[in-house]
Amino acid sequence: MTTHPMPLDHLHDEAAFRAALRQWLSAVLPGDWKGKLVAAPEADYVTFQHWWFDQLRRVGLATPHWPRAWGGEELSLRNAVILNEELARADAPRPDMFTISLFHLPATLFAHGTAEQRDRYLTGVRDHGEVWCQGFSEPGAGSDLASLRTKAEKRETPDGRTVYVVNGQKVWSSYGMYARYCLLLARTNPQAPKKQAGISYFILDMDSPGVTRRPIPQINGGAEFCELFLDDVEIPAENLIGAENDGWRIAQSTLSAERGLIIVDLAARLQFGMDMVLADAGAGKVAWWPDIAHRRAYMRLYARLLAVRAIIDRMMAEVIADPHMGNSPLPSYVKLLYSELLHDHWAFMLARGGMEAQVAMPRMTGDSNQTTDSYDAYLWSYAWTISGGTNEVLKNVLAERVLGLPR
Amino acid sequence: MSDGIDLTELRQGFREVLSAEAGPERVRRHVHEGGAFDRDLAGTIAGLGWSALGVAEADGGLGLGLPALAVLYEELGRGPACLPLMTTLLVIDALKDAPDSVRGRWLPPLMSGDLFAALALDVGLSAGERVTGRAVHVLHGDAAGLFLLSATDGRHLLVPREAAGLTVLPTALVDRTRGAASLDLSDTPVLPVPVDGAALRRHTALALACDSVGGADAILEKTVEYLKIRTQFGQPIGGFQALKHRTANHKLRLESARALVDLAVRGDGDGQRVLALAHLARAHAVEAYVTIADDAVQLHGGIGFTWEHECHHYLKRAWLNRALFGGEDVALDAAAALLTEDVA
Ligand SMILES: Cc1cc2nc3c(=O)[nH]c(=O)nc-3n(C[C@H](O)[C@H](O)[C@H](O)COP(=O)(O)OP(=O)(O)OC[C@H]3O[C@@H](n4cnc5c(N)ncnc54)[C@H](O)[C@@H]3O)c2cc1C
Repeated sequence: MTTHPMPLDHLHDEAAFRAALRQWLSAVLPGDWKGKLVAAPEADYVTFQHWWFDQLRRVGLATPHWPRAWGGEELSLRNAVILNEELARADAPRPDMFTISLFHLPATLFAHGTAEQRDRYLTGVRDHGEVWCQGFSEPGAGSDLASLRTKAEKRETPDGRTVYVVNGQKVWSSYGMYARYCLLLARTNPQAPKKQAGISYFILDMDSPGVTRRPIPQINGGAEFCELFLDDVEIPAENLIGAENDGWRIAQSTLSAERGLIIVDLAARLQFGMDMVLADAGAGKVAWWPDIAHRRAYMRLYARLLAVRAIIDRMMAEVIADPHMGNSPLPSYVKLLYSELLHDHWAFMLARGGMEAQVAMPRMTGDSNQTTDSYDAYLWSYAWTISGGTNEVLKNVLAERVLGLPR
Repeated sequence: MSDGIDLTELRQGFREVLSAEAGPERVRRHVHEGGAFDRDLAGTIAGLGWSALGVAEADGGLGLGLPALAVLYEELGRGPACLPLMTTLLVIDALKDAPDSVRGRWLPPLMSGDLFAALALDVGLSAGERVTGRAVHVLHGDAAGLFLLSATDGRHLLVPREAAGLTVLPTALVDRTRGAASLDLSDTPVLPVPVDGAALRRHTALALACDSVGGADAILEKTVEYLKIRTQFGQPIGGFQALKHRTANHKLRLESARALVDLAVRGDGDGQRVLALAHLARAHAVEAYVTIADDAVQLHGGIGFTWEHECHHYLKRAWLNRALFGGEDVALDAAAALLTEDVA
């Protein structure tokens, strides 16, 4: 029995839901959780993420956006907004290590998984906090993902099982060091007339023999992603998602989750931070505020933030009407507008920081979505302009699919 | 509010009339002929009753709110229509709290299209019932038969064009889709009217924002179409990635502006924040408009540089929107002041 208030008991009443969330947050959230992660060993970050996921899970808030059929809470739009606002207000940790588990995996399995796969793996996330990673990119296949070369060959084992034997290399796999499973794309038909047509989509158990992972140190000193080496790794046939050679189409579901939905709460948090600056400015605590040019520049950034949040609201309404969002351009608008705003915002703040901001500071272990250091945040903002399809590539797609310009 | 009216149908209606009566040919002719006030066109359009859109039903109007007016401003911006409607609609709305006698006297001719109105903000005037002072660059002052002056001392004053001691000097603007005038008041009798100054400023900012979104949308659409049909090096120029990325960026600017303007028109929240939002929407939308219209000329090449082509109609209107009613810096400063009081 938990002694905490259960926020989900109050979904019918907005004010009560909000109050219960605040009460729950103040009861569970350690005061200085950020401070404790500064310069902490990697293991502390992983333990903390698991602990926080477990706290969320206990009150049903780990998977609030999942449909009820898959054990989620299927929160209404209004309640989801309230939840995001309260998490932002409390500066509660984001369960970042579970990003692929919470967004990419369900987006893929809801649409294309078998009943057994959904049952096994969604339950694994929801009830046991299993961490997933995404093995799409390769050294030779980034923006041109369809040119990937990791190979999967179907074989019968001597004991009569059907397996795919995988060989190749994957890079930039976020949270790959901590992951139990991987969403893997590999080539099953090198002879296919179109390179997109020969790709299959697998569930890879990261503990399989032949999997080697190596962290890749990043621009900000972290190592949130890693490279994977796959040497004769056996994947059982039942771990194929969808049909053989249909992986490219399925991957589009995974990628659509990446654009848009995972930005919803980040944008709410950015607004919270910007509102704090305004409050401090009103109280005379922001040194650069009296400079009229800076103030105006800040107002322009704030206008962009309110605009992207308004587009997010429209996107959320669309998601509720049609969870697969068909051909909606809104997720890519959100990805592009948010990532460029994030970059410009932190570049602005870094410039205001002057020499102080140039002094090397120990950073919070893990990714930097919630850093309070303007330099760290500025560097991290590239993660949003590069991953999930670079902004340049998304602009090609926008120009061609939305504006109808020739390929 | 506009419950019960289908804004999409309303938009369709505006667009049909405007493209039939005030389409590109008409705009071009108007601009070629020097941009003097086109009373014929104004009469035709105003006769359709659009000026009555926001007027309360009790006063003989349609009683629709800002969301419906926003659609009209946007459609007028798309043309860009050469009509003195924006300020007329603003003044009509500002008069909603005026006494019966004032509304009874001025609303009927304003609604029927027999009369247009102009608005000047922050006018320095002497005190008293007869005032002396000067207002410059008054938008649509050339076409107006009635002026609403928002004085720096907080008063709002109505002045008919025939008022004693009032001299109206038309000012030609580079944007020939619109006119302006300067007003000299010399011991001129004025009628003080109660006006919600914050609401008037909000409405003014939103009108400019919507005009900008409409104009930006139209010139972007035309530019994208041009990129599809103009071929060089054996291919449509829209296939060149340098141009694709620029147009994709313009589309993002436009969508961002539209989202903020919609939010500001809805206007949820307290008064301070709602007004701040309108100022931000204005600055954001005008910036998008200027950027898109500016690049439209370049993307059209030589044809975009000609007087004949319509690129410059949008470009010049965009720059005028940037400068009007105090300009965008003032809007940003107002937003900053409101938001720091509000949030603190
Ligand atoms: C923080 C982070 C986390 C990531 N996490 C994962 C993960 O978990 N799993 C995973 O599979 N991948 C992940 N990625 C990889 C990411 O998806 C790729 O980095 C991205 O797709 C770009 O590929 P690339 O790095 O090979 O760059 P390239 O494709 O080589 O691009 C280099 C430059 O060329 C430009 N470019 C390329 N093609 C075009 C074109 N057609 N038109 C115009 N410009 C073009 C790009 O925009 C970019 O500016 C992550 C990346 C980052 C930065």
